[in-house]
Amino acid sequence: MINTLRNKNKELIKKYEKEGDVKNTISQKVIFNLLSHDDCFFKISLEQAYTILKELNVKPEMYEQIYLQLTKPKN
Amino acid sequence: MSYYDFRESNLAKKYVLVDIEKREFFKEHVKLSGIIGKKDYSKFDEDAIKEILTNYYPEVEKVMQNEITSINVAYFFNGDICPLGHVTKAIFARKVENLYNAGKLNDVPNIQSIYSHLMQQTNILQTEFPETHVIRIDDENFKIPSKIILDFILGDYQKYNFSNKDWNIEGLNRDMFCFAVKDFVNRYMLIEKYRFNEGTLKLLNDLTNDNLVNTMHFNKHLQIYDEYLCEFELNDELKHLILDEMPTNYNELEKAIYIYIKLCKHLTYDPEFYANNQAGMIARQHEDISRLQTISASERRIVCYEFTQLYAKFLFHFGINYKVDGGMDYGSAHSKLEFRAGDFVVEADSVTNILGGDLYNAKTNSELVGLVCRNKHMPTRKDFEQTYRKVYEDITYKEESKKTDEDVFYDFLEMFDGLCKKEKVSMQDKIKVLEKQLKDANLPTMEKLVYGLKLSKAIFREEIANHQFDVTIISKKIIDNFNIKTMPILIFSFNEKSFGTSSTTSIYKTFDSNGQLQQVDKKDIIDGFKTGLYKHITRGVADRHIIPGIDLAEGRE
Repeated sequence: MINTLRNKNKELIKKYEKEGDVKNTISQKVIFNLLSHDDCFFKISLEQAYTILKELNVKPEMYEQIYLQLTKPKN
Repeated sequence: MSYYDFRESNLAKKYVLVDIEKREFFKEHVKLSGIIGKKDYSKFDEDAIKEILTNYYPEVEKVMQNEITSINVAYFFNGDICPLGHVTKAIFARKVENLYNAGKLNDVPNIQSIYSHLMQQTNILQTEFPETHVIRIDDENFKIPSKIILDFILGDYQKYNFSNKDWNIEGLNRDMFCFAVKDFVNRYMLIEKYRFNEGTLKLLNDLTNDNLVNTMHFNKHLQIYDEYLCEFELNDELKHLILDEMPTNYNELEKAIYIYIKLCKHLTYDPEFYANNQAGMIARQHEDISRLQTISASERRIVCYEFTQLYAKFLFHFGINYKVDGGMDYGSAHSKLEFRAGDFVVEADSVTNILGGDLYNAKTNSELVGLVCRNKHMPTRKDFEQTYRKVYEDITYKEESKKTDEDVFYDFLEMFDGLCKKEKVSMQDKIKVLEKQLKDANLPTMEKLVYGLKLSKAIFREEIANHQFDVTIISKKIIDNFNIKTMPILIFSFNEKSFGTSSTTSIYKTFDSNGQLQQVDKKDIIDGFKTGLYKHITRGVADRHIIPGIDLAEGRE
């Protein structure tokens, strides 16, 4: 699941760079660095997790389901 | 002993003793400069050097002849030697050499003869070494002419490329020869006793610190040190479970890492042992070494020294030498082991922390913290890291990302908070998320509790900072088939406003080994502590994590 978010993040970086949208490019690059940590979602609050999902254009009704997937023990 | 007698003693011969009147002078002109090995060294400024050369040189000369590697300056006061600072012979001589060449020692009496003497004493070419340097490397003796070693460190080293493995000297390959040089340098204390040019000095420091080549593994773990190796056999079921899927083409290091990860994934820290503070009946059960034979696919509960012995036995089966590091008796203290696999020396400790060690990390495919490469040589450490990742991926099919530094993660998080408008989530919604996730977590008891701790601390990160959420691990007595068992549980405390405000009521929920999150009244918790149903796990009152709103020590409100 985190790799899906990483790919989405990379797409958005490309898109915002192409559009010359500096503010969103920076936000996405910051998210890129956060997502580079596999345990990212164990280090941030639920608010921060949902904000990342919002910035990655995830629909609000999907936040909870995706968060549960991301923080599920991967045994 | 009189003052005069003391000055004649053997101890006094190790010191340059200055007059007590000079104490303040030296305190001003001698400062701590750094640490070499385990000893701190001082920086003697120009005035201090001049003072020693002018008034105390005969004492320095005595020290030089005594084969002591550093010049220790001290004064004698009230029966004690009071150190003022020490400096290696080599550094002292180099300082004198620089000052002399700069013409700053012209007013020191007899400077010409002092200088010549000092230079001669610290010139390696004027020292006689045994004709051959004998060294034992991994059970084999080697003899190398000392001249070859001296020529190497004084200039021949420049002919060799240290990143290329394919050279040898006197029949020793690169690493073995460098190990022999390192041994020579240490045995005759060359760095401390002799002056060298910058190039040689850097080489010697690099060799002794394994910056250039890996030599740390030599002479390490040539045999197994394990008192309990023969006292049990591995359970066949466990052997199959751990080894059946191990790739057959693995080398020693890969096998050792694979077995460690598989054991961490399968075994679990005994929650009862933890809940009982590692004492009582349950502790006695774990002190019985024959119990190790019962550890199988279904019996997974272990404690640190049991893990170590089980892992040790697997290493033994693959011919990997190791040393168990534990208490005097089996089960008396924390235990871990160190093994050597080829060029690698590795420490393995699955229980670096009961709540955050590798028994949890491996089950959640998180970074392992207990498998540590002890080699200092950076490329060797890098090789270890790559092997560890490869094996971990072989087991988990885990896709690794290239992550940024741990330290900068929180810098990025701070930036993120500043850049993006934060989503709002109510406490009730957060509790629901926590509840759902804990209910579905398919982990053994201990790991489920650790997971609950970590996840709740993440979900309620902001509430923790605002004193609205807390989580505590305590023990609870449970009746199980007419037996009373003590198990660890979590108590989550929530408060919509803040634990400090008396106008709001805190909500408490317990999370136990059945995976149930249950609301409990504050009164029930207090009563539970009074009746002994609940207990704190930590031994000292000072270490206890307070449940907000409940008096920890007494179980009183």
